[in-house]
Parts: sequence; structure tokens; C-alpha cells
Amino acid sequence: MGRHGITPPVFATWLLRMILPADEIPYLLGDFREEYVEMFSRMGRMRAWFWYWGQVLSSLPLFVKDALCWRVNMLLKNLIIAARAALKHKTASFINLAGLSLGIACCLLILLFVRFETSFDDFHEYGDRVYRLTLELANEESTQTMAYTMLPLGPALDRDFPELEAVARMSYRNALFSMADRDFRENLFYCDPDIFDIFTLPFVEGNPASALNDPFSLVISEKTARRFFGESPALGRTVTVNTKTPYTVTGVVADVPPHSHLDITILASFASLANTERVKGEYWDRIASDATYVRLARGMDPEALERKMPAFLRKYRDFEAGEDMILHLQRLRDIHFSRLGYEMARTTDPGLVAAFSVVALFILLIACINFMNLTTACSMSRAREVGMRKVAGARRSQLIGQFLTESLIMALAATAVAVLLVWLALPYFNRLIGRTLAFDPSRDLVLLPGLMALVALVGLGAGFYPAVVLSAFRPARILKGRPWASVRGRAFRTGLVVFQFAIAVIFMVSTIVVYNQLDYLRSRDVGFPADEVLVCWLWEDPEPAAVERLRRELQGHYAIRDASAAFGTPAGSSSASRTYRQEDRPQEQGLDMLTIFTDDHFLDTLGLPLVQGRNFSRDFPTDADQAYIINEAAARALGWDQPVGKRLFSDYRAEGTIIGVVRDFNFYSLRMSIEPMVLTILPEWYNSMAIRVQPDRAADAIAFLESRWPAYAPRYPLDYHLISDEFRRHYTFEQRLGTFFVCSSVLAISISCLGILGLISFTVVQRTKEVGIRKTLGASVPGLVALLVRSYVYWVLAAFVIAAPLAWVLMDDWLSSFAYRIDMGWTPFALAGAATLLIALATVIWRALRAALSNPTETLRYE
Amino acid sequence: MKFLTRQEEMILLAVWQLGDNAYLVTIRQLLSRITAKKWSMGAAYVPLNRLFQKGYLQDRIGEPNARRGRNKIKYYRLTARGTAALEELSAMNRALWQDFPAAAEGKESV
Repeated sequence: MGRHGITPPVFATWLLRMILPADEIPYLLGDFREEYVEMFSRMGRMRAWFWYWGQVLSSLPLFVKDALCWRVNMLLKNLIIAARAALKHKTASFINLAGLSLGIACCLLILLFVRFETSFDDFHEYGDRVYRLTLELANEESTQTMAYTMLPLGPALDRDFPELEAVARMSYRNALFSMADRDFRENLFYCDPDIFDIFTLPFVEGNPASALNDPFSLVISEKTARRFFGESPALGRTVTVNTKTPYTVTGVVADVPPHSHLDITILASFASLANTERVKGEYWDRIASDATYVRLARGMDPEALERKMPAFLRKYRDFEAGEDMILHLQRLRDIHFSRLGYEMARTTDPGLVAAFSVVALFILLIACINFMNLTTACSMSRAREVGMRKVAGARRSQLIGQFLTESLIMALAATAVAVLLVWLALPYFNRLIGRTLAFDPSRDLVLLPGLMALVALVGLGAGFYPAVVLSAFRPARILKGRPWASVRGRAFRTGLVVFQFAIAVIFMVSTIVVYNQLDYLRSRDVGFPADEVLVCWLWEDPEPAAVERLRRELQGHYAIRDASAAFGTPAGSSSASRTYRQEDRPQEQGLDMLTIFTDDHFLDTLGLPLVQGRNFSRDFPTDADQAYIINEAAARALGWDQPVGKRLFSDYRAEGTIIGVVRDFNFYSLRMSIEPMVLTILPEWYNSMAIRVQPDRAADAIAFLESRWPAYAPRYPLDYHLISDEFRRHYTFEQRLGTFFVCSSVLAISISCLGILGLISFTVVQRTKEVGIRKTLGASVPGLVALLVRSYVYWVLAAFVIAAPLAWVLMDDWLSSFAYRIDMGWTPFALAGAATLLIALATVIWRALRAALSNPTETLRYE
Repeated sequence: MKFLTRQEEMILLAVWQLGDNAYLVTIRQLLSRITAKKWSMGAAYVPLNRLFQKGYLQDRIGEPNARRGRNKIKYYRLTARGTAALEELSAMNRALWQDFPAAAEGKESV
């Protein structure tokens, strides 16, 4: 029996190694081996082998159970220690918990938002094969991509590409729906029957295969059905659209969830449009207000299809030199983040979502850093505990385990508080960002595991550093009373604080800049008195004569200075872009200019001054259909110094002469610069009435308008707004961004201040004796405070130096999206820097003062 | 006094009987022989370790014998507390078994 000749089965031994308690392995393996060898020599290899395996297998469960018992026991002990530590340092624990839960709550809210924004259109069964066609228009000067396409595009695609499983056009409108007793103004989509093969819209009633086949059919959502018909069945009911045509309800679909890029409440069959002026013929030239959606066959390559598009387009449409049109396929899930012209979908700037995510991440990071610093600082007073435990034989891994348990418990508690905070704050947050987010951990399956992951991440991430530092204490040093002499990583902690403050400074600068810019936009002159001009929408297909009657009636009222009918009003949504050719360059490609169809009162109503020429006038009969007024931007774009008397040819009118030039004014929002613009008289297009009221008589004017309205449009509800309100609506996003930044910078600053409060407490504890000795030797209180506080001033200054250039780059980038922007200057930086320094100093001085004022006999008593 | 489980009691007694040669292998073999049952290594180790953790036993590391390769031996011995527990247990058992007929015989055979 050779000493090395007999070795027990290797795999079974490996199994044992895995499961046996670590410090007992050598003895136990020896015991197993001894018996195996004995067995081997008595009964032979086979029996010994079986015996060994039998022993291993029957022992394993017992060892596992034993190990678990001890772990649970250990965990319970750690929990008790953690609770004791937390209760002993009540203030510190509270600060820690508060900072962490605020950070987590803020992070959770933003994550909910980000998840909502990135979940758009994830509920469509064929979603990964659905694409929207977008149209890129290019000429020499510019390219523009739009969500709208040509009307005949859908049917042509269907004809030429049989491999497409479904093709549908959607045309967005607003219309009046009349029941016997009630009217509703609603948005609707005219669409091809294939739409139900593209979007997943579950039918509650009706048949998806035939619902939109016939003209004048409607499919409505359940919510709309309830609004229209109450509890009575909707199927087969008749609704009059725009007071003329009766439509029949042929289907009811389940409500579309809020994370759909289209808010689908009413669908009408595209066939209903068949005989309208717009749809007749093949308008390959005109971009209609229609989007085209397709569903590809499984395995079909969208890029291959895209490559076939140029040839396909040329088959149907002639191109002029220099002009180009490119069709692209846009993935369904990308639509929500797209930024195209003529967009009817609900979109979000992806930059905003990214910005929110970054802010969330940084706030969580600040909170975690804080937690690390505070735990490290306040655990210095637990150095003795660590020392004692080490002397009593605790291993380092056990200590680390204990500290990690503590931080995990803190993270768990903080997350619990954060969940409560989120639940309380969600309605306000929803109002702030204009969304309807839901927070329901009991129903949301991802939320609970997500929260647990967050607890683990925060607890382990933030607890790791203190655990390592604390467990590294040398017992001899601690018990001699100088634990910190052995603690390195002071520079690391200082770096973390500088980082925290740098973020706080960036947030503050951003807040100030956003607010300055908003203020600037609000107060900037748009070129006319926007707060004195009301705009009301006219009824469907208004008779020009009736509109003129209403206009005269309004103009005659004492509270109204002037009124003008128009298609296209400032800050509004309807406007037309038309193509013009110049008399001196008739062969060249035309120039697209924003065109307002209006009457001879437009300039007076808006108070716009002429720079050259004259206004429209009834004394000149040709003004009625052959006169243009252009703005200064248009004169520049056309390249004419003296445009009056020059002739223009347009795509809707052969002859026309420029009779005047109006001073530039803002038409959309101050985000955009002033575009070239043409005014002309064309009564058939009027869809709104602009009314200039006497400054203090707006209420009288509105009352008069309301009293006269039924005589002209009895079925249409009166819908009016102030132009200045409409302008302001363009800035709601910026307004929300501003509020959001204020909240996050307040949060960042307060969490960072909690952090340095913890650090100075640590410093003060560390230097208690030094302060006491200095005091007995005659140091003054201000001198002592300065001594303790000095380094913090340097830290905040360092943070500022790091943060200022970053903040400048970020905000300059944001401002560059505005045509009219402020100069940042140095004030936001000075303000943010000063505020950060002051807040930080106030926090630090408060604590330093307490130390400096303390009685030296108290602090030196134990020496 | 805290009650010991039957296994723990048996292990304590085995350690006492084996004197200086009490370690997992010998303990297990003794118990298997006396009880005529197969004790797995785990079944012996778990109560043994528990007794050790509770302070009834103390350990001593000894040099390995030829069969064990380089693995040292962990010998166990009763602590004062372990001896006290056994004495207490024996007194209690005597009182409990007092008038039971077979008790006298059993006493001799141990």
C-alpha cells in the first residue's frame, strides 16, 4: 500500500471541496481520505469507490444544511448590530436615509419616464415589420424630410410590390361629429382597410376585415363610443360629420394605450374621401396630409426595398433638374423619437430623454457618494467596535459582510421610503412633464425585480468602499486611539466631494440659463401686439360672404379695433407653403414661401407697419386676385431691393404683382428665425378670424363674439385663443425643462451639502483634541473656524473650476437651438458659484463653530 | 442546562471514550460499531462541529498519519463544560431510569 498509490475519486473530492466549510477543508478531506484508504486495503478498489461516493452524496445535504444554518445565524447577528448602529447615530442615520431616499425617488421617477418614452408602440403584433414611409425633398439649397407623402403613393406601392403584406394611408383631420342632441369636435384619421393588419387594434364589436371597406364607415374607440352614445350599443349608429355627411359606426376597438405614437380615437374609411376635390386624380406633385404605413413580409429586407424606391418614383413622376425626392422607410418604434416636418405623431426629443437619464444617473450617483462618505465618516466612531471584533477573532471577510449587510439594509429602507415618495409625487411629476405615467408595483412585473436590483446596486455599490476601509483598521492602532492614522483614501473622498459639487454647479448654471432664456423669449417683442389679438376658428367650408358679414359686424363693435379673416395666423398650426417664380428668372426653380391668405384688414388688425408700397385696398379691383404683400425676409430671399411693382408667378395663380413690403414679424415661435412670407387675398381659403381688441375691453369683445356666433355657425362650438397664449404654448416644453432643472439642482445641492456636513463632522471629531489644545493655548474662535473650514473652500472652488467650462459647453449647445438667444455672459456662472460656495460654507461653518465653541476641558478630559 | 440532542450526546460520550485519539474517523467508527448503524461522515461531523461551536469540545491539530496524505488531523477533547454537561446528563439519566428493570444490566455493559 504505497502512500501515493491510492487517491480517492477526483470529482467526488472536488464536490466536497465546493461544499465543505472553508476552514475545515484540510482536516475533513483528510478524514475522508483516511477511511477511503482503509476501505481500499480491506475491500478493494470497487467497494472503496462506491463507499466514498456514497459517503459524499449522503453527507452533502447535511453539510449544506449546516452551512445555511450558520449563514442565517450570522445574518441575524449582523441585522441586530446594524439596527444598534443606526439607532446610536440617529441624526447621521436620518441624514443618510433622507439623502439616499430622495436620490432614489428622483431616479425612479425619471426611470419611469424614460421607460414610458422608450416603450412607444411596443404593443403591435407585427411592430417589428411595420414601417412608415417618409419623404426627403431636396433642391440646391436645402433638404427636408417629412412624415407626409403623396396620396397615390399607397395604392401604387400596393400594386408594384405584392410582397408587402399590407399598405395603408392615414390622413389626419379635425371634424365636427353631430349626434341628435350633441356635437363633438374630434380628431380623426381617414385610413385604408389594411390598417388593421398593420396596427394591432383589438375589435370589441364589428369585423376588422370589412369595417373600413365601404365609404362613410367609422371605427371608434371604446372611450369615444361611451362619450358619443353613453351605455347604449354603438355598432350601426349614425353620426353626422361636419354637419353634412352621415357616417355609420361599423366597429368599436379597445382604447389605444397612451404609449402609441398616434392617438387613435376615430378612424374613417378612406373611401369616404373618394369624391372630394383633393383625392380625385393622381396628385403625384402635391404632398398631402397623409402618412403611408406598410407591413413587410417576414424576412424582407427594408433596405433592399428602400433601394428600389427611386426607380419606382420615377415611373410615376417627372423630376426637374436639381430637384430630388427620396423615399425612406422608418421603423415603427423609431417614429416616436423622429423629428420630421409635418408630423402628426406624438413625438419626444430623444435628446430630452437622454438628458433626463443622465440627470437621473447623476442624482443617484451623488446620493450614493454621499452615503459612502457619511458611512465612512460616521463609522470612525465605530473603530473601537471593529478593533474589538478583530481582537476577538473576526475575520476581515466577516466584517466586510457585516458592513455590506448594514448598507444593504439602509438601501432597502431608503428604497421603501423612495417608493412612498414616488407614489406621493407622481401626480405632480405627471403634470410637470405632461405624461400619464403609472406606478403600481403590484401589477407591474418589471418593477419589483427592478427595485430589488436597485437596492442591491446601491447597497453594494455605496457600501463597498466603507466596508473595505473600515475592515482594514489595524486593531493595535485603533485601541491606541488613533484609527485614522491608518486610513488612506482621504484624497479619494475629497475627490468624490469635488465631483458632487461640480455636478451641483452644472445643474445650477443650467437652471439659471434656462430661466434667463425663457424670460427673454417671453419679453421679446414679436413684432406686433400679440396679447391684443384674438384668433377664433371658423366653421367648416365657410361662405366668403358670411365671413365678410361677421367681420364687418365685429369691426363695428366698440371693443374691437379691427378684424380680419385669414388662412394662417401667427403661432397657429395652419399655414401653407407655396411655390413662387420671379418675373426676371422664370426658368429657374421656384422659391417656396410661407403664404397667408387673408383680406385687406390683416395688417391693421395685427398692427404691422409697411416698409414700402401700400396695403391691399378695395379701390384697386386687381388687388382682389392679383396683389401680393411680402415681408422683408422675402424681399431678401428674392434678391430685390425695390420689390414693389415686380411680378410673381405662383403655383395657384398665374399673374400677380407685389404692392407692398411689410416689416418682419415672428410667425411661429422665437425658436425659429423669420421666414420669407407672402400675403395675398383669397377668400375661399379662410379658416380663422383675427380680432384686435381694445386693450381693456377684451371681455366685452369676447361676450359680443359669443352672442353673435350662433347666427353664423349654430352647430360649431366657438373656439378662440389669444395669440400671446399660443406663443407661450410653444414654450411649455422649455418651461417644464426649467422647472425640472430647478428641482434637480435643489436636490443635487441639498444632497451634496448633506455630504460635506458628514465630512466636516468627521474632520471635527478627528481634530477635537487639536482644537481643545489650540484653544487652551489662546486660539480665537474665528481663527479655529477658519482653520477647520479652509480646505472646504478650496474644494468648492476646485469643483467650480471643473464644472464651469462643462456647463458652458452644454448650455451653449442648448441655446443654439433658438433663433433668438441670450448671451450667457458671466452672471449665471458667478451666481451659481457664489450660491454653491455660500450654501456649502454655511453648512460647514455651522458645524465648525460648534466645535470651536466647545469647552476645551470637555474635549481634553480623557487625555 | 440546555438539552443536547441524542446525536450530540452520543458524540460527546464517544469523544470521552476515545480519549486522545478522538477525531472524525475514529468517532464515526466507534459510533457505527456500538449503534450497529451506518453513520455517514456528514451525520457525524455536523453535531460534532455544533458541539465544538457551543464550547463543549476543544480541538488540537495533530500530524497526519500515512493514509491521509498531507492532511493534518483535528483531534477533539472534552472541555470542562463538556465534562460538566456529561456529568449532569448522567445524573439526570440515572434519576430518570431509576426503577426500570433493565437499567442495572445496562449499567454494567457500558
